[in-house]
Amino acid sequence: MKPWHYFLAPLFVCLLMLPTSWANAENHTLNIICSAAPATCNVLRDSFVSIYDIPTNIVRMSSGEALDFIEKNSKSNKLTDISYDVWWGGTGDTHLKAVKNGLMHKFVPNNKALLGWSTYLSDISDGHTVGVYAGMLGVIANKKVLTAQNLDLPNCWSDLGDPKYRGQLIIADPNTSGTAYTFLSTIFQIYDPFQRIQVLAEIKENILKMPKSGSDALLPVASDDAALSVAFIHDVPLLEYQNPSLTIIIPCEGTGYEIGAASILKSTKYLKQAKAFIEYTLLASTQNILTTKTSLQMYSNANTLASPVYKNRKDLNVINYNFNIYSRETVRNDVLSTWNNLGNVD
Amino acid sequence: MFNYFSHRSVLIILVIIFTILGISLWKINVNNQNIQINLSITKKEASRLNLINNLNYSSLKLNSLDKQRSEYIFLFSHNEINKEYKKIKKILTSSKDKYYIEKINDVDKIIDELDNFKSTMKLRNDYLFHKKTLQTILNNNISTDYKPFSIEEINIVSSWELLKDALNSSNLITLGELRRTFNHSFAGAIGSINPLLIENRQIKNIASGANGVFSTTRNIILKNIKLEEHIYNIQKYSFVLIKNLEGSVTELKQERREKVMPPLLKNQILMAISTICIFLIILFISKLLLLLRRFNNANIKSIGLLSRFNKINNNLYENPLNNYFSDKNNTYNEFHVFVSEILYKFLLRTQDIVLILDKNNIPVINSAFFNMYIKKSSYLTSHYSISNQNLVFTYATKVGEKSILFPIDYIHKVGNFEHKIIFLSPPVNESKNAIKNDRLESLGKISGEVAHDINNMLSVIIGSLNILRESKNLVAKEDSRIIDRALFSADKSISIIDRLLTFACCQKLSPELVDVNDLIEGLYEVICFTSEKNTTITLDLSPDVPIFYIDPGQLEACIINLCINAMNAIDGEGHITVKTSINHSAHCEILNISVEDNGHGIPKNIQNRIFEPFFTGQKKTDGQGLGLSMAYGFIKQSGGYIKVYSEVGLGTTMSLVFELGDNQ
Repeated sequence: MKPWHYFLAPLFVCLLMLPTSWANAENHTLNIICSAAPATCNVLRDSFVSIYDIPTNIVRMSSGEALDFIEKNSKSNKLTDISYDVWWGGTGDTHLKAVKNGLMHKFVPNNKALLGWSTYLSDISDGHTVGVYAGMLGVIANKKVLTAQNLDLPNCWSDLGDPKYRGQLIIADPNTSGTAYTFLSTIFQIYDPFQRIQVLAEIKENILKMPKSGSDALLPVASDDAALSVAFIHDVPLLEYQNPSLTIIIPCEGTGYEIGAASILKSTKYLKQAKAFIEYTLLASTQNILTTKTSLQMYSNANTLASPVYKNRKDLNVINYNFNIYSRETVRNDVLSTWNNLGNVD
Repeated sequence: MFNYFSHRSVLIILVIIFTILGISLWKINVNNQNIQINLSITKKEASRLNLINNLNYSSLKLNSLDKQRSEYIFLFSHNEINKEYKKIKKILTSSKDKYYIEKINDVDKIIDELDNFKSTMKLRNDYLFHKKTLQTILNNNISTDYKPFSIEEINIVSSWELLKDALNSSNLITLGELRRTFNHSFAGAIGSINPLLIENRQIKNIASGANGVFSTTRNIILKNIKLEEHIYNIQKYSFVLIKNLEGSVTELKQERREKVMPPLLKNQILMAISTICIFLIILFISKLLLLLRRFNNANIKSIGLLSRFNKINNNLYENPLNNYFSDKNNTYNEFHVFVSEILYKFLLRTQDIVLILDKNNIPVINSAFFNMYIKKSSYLTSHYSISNQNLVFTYATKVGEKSILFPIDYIHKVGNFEHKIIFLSPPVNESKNAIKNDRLESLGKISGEVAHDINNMLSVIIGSLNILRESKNLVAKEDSRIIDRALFSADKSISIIDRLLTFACCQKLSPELVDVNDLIEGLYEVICFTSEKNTTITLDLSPDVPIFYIDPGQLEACIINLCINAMNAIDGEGHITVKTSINHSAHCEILNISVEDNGHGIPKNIQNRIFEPFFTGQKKTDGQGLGLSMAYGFIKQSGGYIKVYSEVGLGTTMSLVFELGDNQ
């Protein structure tokens, strides 16, 4: 036996141990807070696990809940011992608010095929969050209910305040719903300070009830119990399939939109895996699965297939929504207090 | 003795009362001065607060303006607004009050935001410039009649059209969806292009430059969002500042008034004394008026006459009556004594010609005032006749009889003296005017037709030259340079043709509601920039000028042309005044935009020809003589007219006159 053969044994042992240590590292579960539709969250987890073989746990929370949870969990008396790594989905303004509070890890994706609105979110957050999907806000009308009452379709946001629609409108509570907050801030960005109060006051007069979430506001219109609602238009086709009386109206003044974001939490212990997860969700192949199987938003990769909801739509009459301003806490409080002070809905 | 005592005592009492009154008033005055001094800073601040609202307004306006004009107007407004905020800062700094010194930070924030706005604006303009270049490339690099012959090529051509749409996108979502569609329609087809075809190679080049199109548009949209953000911040900081300062002004006023206000009783006594004094003054004045009324009723008539003509508030031009009244050799009759003082002053303020006739229609003030129209030596006899609201002055010369028609503006009869004061408008030479208008009409018609044809031919020349320049067969640099020179000349010709078309009223106007004063203020820097150092430019803008429906671009060009002409007329030191005013006529309001200079003036013999195309009286410039023609055509097309008043050696006033109807 030559002398160098003595080194072979420890080397061999080390080589044997290496896969085990990798396996151990990968055995750590990647904890993800998902604020998208449950079906989307599940598809993402399953496909990611099947490719990367990294154990992944997904918890479903709404945007508001997720933000609240992350903020509370970052303090000394944590809500849970589980360390969350990624927050995927949910409105961009909530992600930006978390970024401003220093709760997110800096991460600029390598993907070069991202669309302008996706990188816009990255730009204004100084590379702490990135846009993954977008959706336009619209007025959802039930033609059957409107015809029964001899009412026309509204064309503009201001039409929603027409007294003829008294008691026909269902909008979620902006204090709890991201959809309704997007609606409010859209009105704020379209109208000047004097007009906006008048428009919102008239609209609020016509509201029948204010459920907690945007999807709950859509259901009564789908079930012929109310005529009008405000929602993201990609949520409508599934309901439209059940109730053909539903129709989407893009208001004449232009409409707002949401950008669903993805961020890595500052508390993450598995940065590499977290980055891999977000990069995976930004791939055209992954987004093609989502846009064909689970949800109909516009996805952020330029090579992803167009969403059937927005494809061939000529009326992309969208305002230049300013996420930077409307994610500020003071602005959010101003917007909400303006709405809350307008008088109560019966 | 009693009388003496009573007089003395009354006198003493009066002296005491006036002394007390004097001391009290002095004390109140001192107190008020204290209040004024204490409040002066806050009052100044409060007056500055209006600027904040102006700032918001102008910022919002800037955002909606198109790129070219917004840049000029913004830079001008930015300097003005910045200066005002610096003044506010100075006032706050000069205040000893700690509360106000703390507010300096708020003003600093606004100034910072303004600077940020400016730099974002500049960046956006760079991208807009780039966008323009890209637009030219996209429009010029494929012939419009190119017919794709395969599905792949159809895809490519449609994706090319998408690039054009992408350049005009106004929001990120639309841009994103266009990018997606572009990627899909292009990706499948690019591989199958025949690389030998020139057009296809060009398309491939464009495709590789597509990233530039999307990123440029994205940057423009992002800069727009950023600009809105700056405006939002400026509004927010301004609002906070307004609230703080307004609140503090109110509190301070109350606090200080409570401190320094004199007691109630003292106030009441002073009020009583003041009332008595005022009563005595009124009594005195009324007695004086009574005396005056007795003195001469006719004076009141003259006051009525004055008020009727006070509306004519124009500058004093050469008025022969000026000479007449200053000539001491004239015999003043009683009538002259009556009119002399007030009427003379009044007449100096009008530009009307005044003829004063006695009961037999014989002029009291004779032909002195006609001297400005006809030299006395050039006629033998003369007489006047009044008919149909006109006064005809007929005079016989060696050649024959001639007449001048003076439209009568107003006749004032003075009953007591059986005299008439006739106010005349400047004479009209109808035939001459008609000839001049006919000449301009015919010139306009011919120019329009010729310009239109030349324009069409020039378009073909420019199109062909562009294709030639892009041709791959063109290798030599010298050839490109020759084509560039030809293109440059063709472009210049197009601009001349454009002006000719404007003269012929064939130009398509894009009128919009324009604040004329704002527009002129926006041009101020441009005018100053083009003027010589020793020429001063003054703006005299009437605040009553309403928003006016007109093509702003053409109006800007028109005013600049008038200013350039004015500058050329000035040798050495001079001044130019750009003025807006509103005059009232019987049936409408008249908007007057005038450019006045003190240059060498336009000789009478060429005044009729200045609007003719290619007519120029300038020697020192290389102007083409189209500036005034263009202005003439544009103003005529916009429903107005140009008034020229020029005196050799004194200067020229060019006025753009618009009658404002109900729809304006």
